[in-house]
Amino acid sequence: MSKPYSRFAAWRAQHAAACRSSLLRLLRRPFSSLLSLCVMAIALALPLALAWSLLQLDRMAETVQASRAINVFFLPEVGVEEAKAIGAGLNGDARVAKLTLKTPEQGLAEFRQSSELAKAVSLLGKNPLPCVLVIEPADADAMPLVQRLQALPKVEFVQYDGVWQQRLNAWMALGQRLLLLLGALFALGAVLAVANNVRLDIAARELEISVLQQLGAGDAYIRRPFLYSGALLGLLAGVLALALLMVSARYIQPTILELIGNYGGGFRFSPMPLAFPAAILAFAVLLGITGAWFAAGHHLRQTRPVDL
Amino acid sequence: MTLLRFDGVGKTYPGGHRALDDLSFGVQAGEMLFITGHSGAGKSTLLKLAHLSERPSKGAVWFDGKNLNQVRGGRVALHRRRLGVVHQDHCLLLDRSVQDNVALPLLIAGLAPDEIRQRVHHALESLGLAGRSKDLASALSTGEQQRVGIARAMATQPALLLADEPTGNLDPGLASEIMQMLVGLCAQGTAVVIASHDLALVKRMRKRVLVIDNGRLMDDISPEDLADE
Repeated sequence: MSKPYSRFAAWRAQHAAACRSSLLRLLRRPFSSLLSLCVMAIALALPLALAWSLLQLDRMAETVQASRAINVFFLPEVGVEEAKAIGAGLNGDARVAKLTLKTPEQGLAEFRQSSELAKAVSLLGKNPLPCVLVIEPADADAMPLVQRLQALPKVEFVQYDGVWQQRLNAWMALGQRLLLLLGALFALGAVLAVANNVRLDIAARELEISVLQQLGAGDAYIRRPFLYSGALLGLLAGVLALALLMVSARYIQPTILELIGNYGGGFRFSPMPLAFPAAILAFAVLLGITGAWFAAGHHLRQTRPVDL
Repeated sequence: MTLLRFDGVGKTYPGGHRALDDLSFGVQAGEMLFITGHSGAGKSTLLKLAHLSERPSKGAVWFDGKNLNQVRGGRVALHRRRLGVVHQDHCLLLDRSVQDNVALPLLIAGLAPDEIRQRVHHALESLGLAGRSKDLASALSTGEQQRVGIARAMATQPALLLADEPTGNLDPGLASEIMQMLVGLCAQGTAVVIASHDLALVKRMRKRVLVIDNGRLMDDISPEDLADE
């Protein structure tokens, strides 16, 4: 046989033939292909939905992060000057990044702006709000500072939202671990769905594969159309999973916004980053190729001549 | 030049069936050799060993100076690309066209599309199938399918062509025609090894004949001896 020439043209011809063949295979078994496609899409969509939810929660956590200030509420009889004096005693503490005194008048003005109870408050004869020290802690762990503030004289109550943040962070960490676990499990499911589809395809094409092997086709040549099938299945499943995610998000967003609105929150859903769909499609294609690789590799190992 | 050599080759299948026993012979480049014997004598096993569809249990098969026992992994496919194979049941892909079937080994070998077209056209024309190149293989008669199988093997211009009962499904006239094509291939330097139990055809061809019985080489008859008989 003469030596192969124009390697690129030959390579292109082989890939074109493999691609055409894999597309025909999928179209010849539409029901089986559609089933695999749906299984893979759902397997991708579930961890995607969880990832999207975590993304939103992360944004909420950032809001909490912004309000990790410590509010020190004095007893009602403590006047502004006395509160200033107590606050001045904290200026030398390295754990205090910033200290602001909020007078009862300032507090009332804020209250009127942000609460539906403002009218009711204005009906009261006198301002019921106390002086408040608003302290931004310098350290991530503000609990030692909170304990010192609680021990200050004439302090009625110390409010620290950082506790909520810590709890939220713990939930987020749990969510991320769950995402990883579920993602890995569903990714495995997607790989198996493709592998099963390819295995069925291989079983239906056993004679063809045998003929190709007899004619000198190597593992790469035999595997190639199945890899294209896997990649194609992965790509379509990725598109379907993204579509499912978008439809689900659109369906559920108004309900969540209404729920948050009832609690007086001004939260808005963040749009999906542009790289997200591209990464999902690339990942889905990779999963498809992996599944096809395993199924085709298993068959190829079984059909090799028995060695000495 | 000895292209193919069996050196004390034995083959015992799992289960204990001994298909070949201490078989030794050589085939020259451009030589035509018939392997004959009754059904189950070991003819097909012999071809499988040369094709690396099976491995010998003992001894060695040498091809073009290489011990095939040492050909492993991806190199098995490379070895097969140097061979042409013709089966009794022709092993065509029935859902593909005649030209696609003939082009298959050329595509596998990585030839450029232009050369593939040229070789397919030439092979089909020389076997009288040019007019049916676009037909599906399933639409052909058994004889035509066999000719496509031969065209496919010839198109690769192999160093060695292995044919297992290539005329088993054909009428005598067509069988002779195909044999003449294989003789033509030998003239171009291809060694042709044909397993056949059609003694009449074997005698008519007057080529070297190996007679195998129960996996043992019983006789190695030269063309001259055959002519004398």
